Amino acid sequence: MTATDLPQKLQEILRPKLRFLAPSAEVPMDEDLGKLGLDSMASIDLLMEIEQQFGVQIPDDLMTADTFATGSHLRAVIEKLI
Amino acid sequence: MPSNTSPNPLLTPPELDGLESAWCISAYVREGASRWPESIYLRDVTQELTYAETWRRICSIAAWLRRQGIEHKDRVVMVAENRIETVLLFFAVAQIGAISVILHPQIKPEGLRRILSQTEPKLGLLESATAWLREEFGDTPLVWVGCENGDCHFADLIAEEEPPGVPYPGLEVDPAFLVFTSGSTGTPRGVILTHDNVRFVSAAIQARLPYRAEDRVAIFLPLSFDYGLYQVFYAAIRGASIFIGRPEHAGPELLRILAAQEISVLPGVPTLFGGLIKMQRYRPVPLPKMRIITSTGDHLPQSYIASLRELFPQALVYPMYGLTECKRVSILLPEELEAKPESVGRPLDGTEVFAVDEDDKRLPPGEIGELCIRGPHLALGYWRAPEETAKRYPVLDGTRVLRSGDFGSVDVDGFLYIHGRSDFLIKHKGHRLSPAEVEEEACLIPGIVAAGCVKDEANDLLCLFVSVSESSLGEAQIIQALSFKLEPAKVPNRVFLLPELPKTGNQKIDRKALRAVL
Repeated sequence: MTATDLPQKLQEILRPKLRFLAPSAEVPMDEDLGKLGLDSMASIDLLMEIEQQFGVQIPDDLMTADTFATGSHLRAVIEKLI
Repeated sequence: MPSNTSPNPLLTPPELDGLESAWCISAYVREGASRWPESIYLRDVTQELTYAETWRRICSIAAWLRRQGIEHKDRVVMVAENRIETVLLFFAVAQIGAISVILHPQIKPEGLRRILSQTEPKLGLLESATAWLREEFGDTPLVWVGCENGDCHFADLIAEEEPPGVPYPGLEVDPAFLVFTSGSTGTPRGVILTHDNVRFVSAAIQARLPYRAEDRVAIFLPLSFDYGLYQVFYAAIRGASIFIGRPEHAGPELLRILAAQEISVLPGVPTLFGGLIKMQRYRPVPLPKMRIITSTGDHLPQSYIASLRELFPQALVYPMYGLTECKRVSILLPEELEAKPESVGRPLDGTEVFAVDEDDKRLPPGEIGELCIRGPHLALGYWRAPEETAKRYPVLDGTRVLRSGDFGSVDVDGFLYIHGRSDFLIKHKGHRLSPAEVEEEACLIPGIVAAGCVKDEANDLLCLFVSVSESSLGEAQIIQALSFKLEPAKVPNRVFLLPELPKTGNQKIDRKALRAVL
């Protein structure tokens, strides 16, 4: 995994979890993920998938609602870790 | 096992400090402030308030409300994320005899408009997350919390000096608040809960699952949902503290919050527990010493109960059954779980539940029919909806009952079993929704001719069947369009297109036939 693959990969992970988003649409990175259909249960699946796909472990202090609030927040956290 | 006739000591209130007014729900905090002034009552991630300070603030806000001309039976509508200020305003509104309406922060403009036109509030509460709904309030004065919007800020409501006492002007049988919930039609209905409804049911619930003064209760359910809201009463009865969390905290960080806040009582819905179990298996953390876990809103699977007991060996797990229209129907005690694993427990003491057949005749034990409920916890009815009130709260055999809309049975020992829901209500992800509401919204989408909403219980999916005149209309598009109009829990997981929907004899959508298609 390189930093350049990150945006694409994150899009791929996020899209199927956002049930209010049209399947072919680009995930708007600054939109509230809750509004796009991510509930707390889905955010647990999202966490697992991100950690597996990017080979990272999100530390406890970043495992907050804020990290999972938008695509950009997630991206910033992952960038720090890879 | 306690007998159904034993007197409940919690129903006898402590001395009312010589106050002459009738009992009202804010007396919970007033009494708490005299019994445990320095104990923490309300906390969130940034602040905590003692019982004494909470009561001082409530009195201060009550005095402010009076100065604004808010009177007995006026409505105050609050739309905010779970926060301490909502609880303070809620109790202050009760103290002056006005009626609180706490709404889900993700409510959509159309839904809010309908509720505002029904309730005609004298005051609204908004915050930055809900500021976009401002226009719906029109000329109604607003208080803003946690942001710089508007000209009246929540902090201005709380005076520095000792506030004057405001006596409660009403009676115990007057409305304290409305809880909006899906009715049998598409229009959400406000269930009218009175002060004495709350007093009776809170005491009866606390007799069955006693909280303790040292308990730390957490809520992650919205305060607009009575299950979340009532925790503030139970905590105050016992002098416990309550952590005001938010639904978005119930994801990956839930376990960490439970540990950091040393939570000992966790009320939740099955999906919340499902997430918690999954997360702990994935990334175990040291867990707090949980004492009580309660679950309602949906069937709590046996596998979840087993996992929760494994994770929290000291915890007592209580499956329960309830309806906003009477708050709580039954609670299953942990010691009863083994003998009656599929039951939702016995009715609260001082209440009765029985099944009736299609002619409203009482059924003998073990036979399945619509469950009907009797007791002092039955709400007054639905706000400004006399017809629907008469339908759900009919008089049977000379006594007023609540029709639950659920099919079930009562065994010879008095334990309740839920066998299925009627066609007009669906429980999904712990929320109750009306298929009619989803169908009405769907039919407003151009190109949709007819819609029928049912739940796929086996896969826990909300399904919508539609017939369309526009062949380009697809599943994803319909789900997205509905997400703009309905709160997230009401948006279907799957949409199926059919050439024509099955109809019943009187030309209604045949939901039973749709369920058979699943």
